[in-house]
Amino acid sequence: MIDRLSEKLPPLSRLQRLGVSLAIVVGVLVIAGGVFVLSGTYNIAAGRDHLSVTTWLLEVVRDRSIAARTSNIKAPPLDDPDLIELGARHYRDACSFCHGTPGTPKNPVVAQMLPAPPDLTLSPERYTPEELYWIIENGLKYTGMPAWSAEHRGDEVWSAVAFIMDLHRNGPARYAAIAAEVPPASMEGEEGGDLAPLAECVTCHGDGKRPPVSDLVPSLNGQSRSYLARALDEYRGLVRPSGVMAVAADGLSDAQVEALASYYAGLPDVRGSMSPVEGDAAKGREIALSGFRDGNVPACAACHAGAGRAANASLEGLSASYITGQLNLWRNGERADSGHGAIMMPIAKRLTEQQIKDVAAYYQAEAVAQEEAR
Amino acid sequence: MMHRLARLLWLASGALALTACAGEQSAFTPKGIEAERIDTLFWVMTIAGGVIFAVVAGLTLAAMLGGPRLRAKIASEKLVIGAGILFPVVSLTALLFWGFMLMRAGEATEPSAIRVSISGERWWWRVTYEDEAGRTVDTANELHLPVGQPVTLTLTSPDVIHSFWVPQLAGKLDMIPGRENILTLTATQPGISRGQCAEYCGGAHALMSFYVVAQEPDEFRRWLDAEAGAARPPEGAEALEGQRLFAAHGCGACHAVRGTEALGTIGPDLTHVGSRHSLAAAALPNRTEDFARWIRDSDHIKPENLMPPYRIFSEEELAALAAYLEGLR
Repeated sequence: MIDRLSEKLPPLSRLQRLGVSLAIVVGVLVIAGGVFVLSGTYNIAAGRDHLSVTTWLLEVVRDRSIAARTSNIKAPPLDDPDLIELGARHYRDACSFCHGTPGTPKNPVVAQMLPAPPDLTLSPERYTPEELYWIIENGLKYTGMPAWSAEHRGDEVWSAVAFIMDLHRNGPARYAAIAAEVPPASMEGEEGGDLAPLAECVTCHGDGKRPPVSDLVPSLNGQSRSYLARALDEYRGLVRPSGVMAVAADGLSDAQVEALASYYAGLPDVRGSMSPVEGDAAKGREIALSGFRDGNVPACAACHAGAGRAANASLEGLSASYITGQLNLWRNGERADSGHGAIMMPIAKRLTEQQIKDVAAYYQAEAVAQEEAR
Repeated sequence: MMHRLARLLWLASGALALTACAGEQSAFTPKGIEAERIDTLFWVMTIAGGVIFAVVAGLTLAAMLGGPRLRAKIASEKLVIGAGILFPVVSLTALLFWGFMLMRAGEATEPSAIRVSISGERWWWRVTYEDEAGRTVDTANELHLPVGQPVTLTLTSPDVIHSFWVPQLAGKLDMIPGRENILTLTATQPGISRGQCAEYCGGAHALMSFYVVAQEPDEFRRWLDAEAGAARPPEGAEALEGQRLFAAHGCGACHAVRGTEALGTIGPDLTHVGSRHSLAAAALPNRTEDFARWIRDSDHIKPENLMPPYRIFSEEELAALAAYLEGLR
């Protein structure tokens, strides 16, 4: 009967025979793959390393993917101490748990991750600064490396890159001192009551005696209590985008927010040596105090001075780097999720880059307005 | 006579769609001298054009269906020269010169005693009156006119081209940056008309309108004197709180409320905003709750407008601001 059936079928051509065999091979592979996936044969344990061929494949895929996505990125000057100081402290608060303190043995818990987070001291030998930037901003799938905790804050990401480059150039000594700034007890909380988190704030923002460690970090001294509390609340709720402050403000209680805000509101003006600015302070003064009607730009002082000081940031004495950074965020359409940010965004969009520098130059040179009854 | 005929034709043609054009923004219900001339011109042209069309259509039908004698007549050289060359030349020339005369083409206009400068802003109208005594009065988004007196408008714009059009009063005239265009309006009867920007000028173009209030001359004088005065102080605790919020949140950086510290000139003058017939260049009616809506959601109500949205206020604060602004009459 089979003979009779095969007699009825037309003979297959060579190409057709090839096709049939191919279909059989693919079918077998699909079934074998299904069995492999569903049977649980693959050992997912982190304690068992990949096959060396798997490791090789994963690394090639990773590095090609990174390289393909970094062609449009251009690094700013990374030897800027403002970037390095900020980056070092953010590394301490956000990255060191996994990547460890450079120069010391790795945390034994983290050492059992697969892949284990690398010691970043050597990273610049493998990746360019632009590639490091991309990795830090976007994270890496399947490795445990998270993306930056705020979107579109590339300006902050560069501080982390600058720190890693500095670590590679100059070794871990400087970082060891920075890492020791926060006494471990302050992490526990209760010692200083609601002001316990202050130890961390001070390491970047300074206090009544020390200025901020970097021009990228605003001085908080003499800002109004309600403005500071609102800023912390917005960082805590991820309404105001900042990867650095998202980490710092995470988990603060309402009482802590109030205590920290009151503390800084009462501090005197402590001025560090801020870097010179490119803007024209005289032109900036005109915009700050009068605005300019042709550009539909109202005066900054209309909201940031006088009665507005109770609710809004006081700009006098803030570093030009910080002011230009924030205005450029708005100008690029960011930081507009909060009520106050939504007001600033359309106004900042009407300023040119030069006008932003001018305004920043004016305010950096002004003395902090110390007023009674804030 | 012309109008009765026009109305008859209108009804007869059963043009229901046209009824949408009636009302405060309709060129078919003119309330100004220039608009009346335009209306007359429109109907003369429409009716004459209709009659000519009917005759041509009749001749075409006759040429197709008529007997040999009729068709021979239609094919005659006399008819071709008479109706095809002479008639158009004569009638179009007559229409052209009559149009010139009717619309007073090239007529030098004497500047009126009271002059008004209107600047098309993005996307509202900055209005400044100057009276015989040289007194200037700043206001916005509403134009008041004395009935029976020609008023010279100087139209301009700081940045983009707009077009000023109040169909019930006159034809449209562009507002061009760096140029002053002069338009003279003469309202013939008291009442409210609506105007509209008639040149695409950006995102909020469709929401750039305004009201024109034509008043008896005495009434107009009283209005102008009131408009020239400082703002009324707020009455009641809520309005007082609103005034405090207005000052504390920097509203005065863009808006003027004369008689207070608010002297901004970027946005519309709000000294008597409560007395106007609309808000935000006729984007909203002028009700207390609309002030609150506008302050909080201006970017949604009128996308791309230049006022930032103020979503920082509580409901109570918005109500207080609205009460204060509504009280500025």
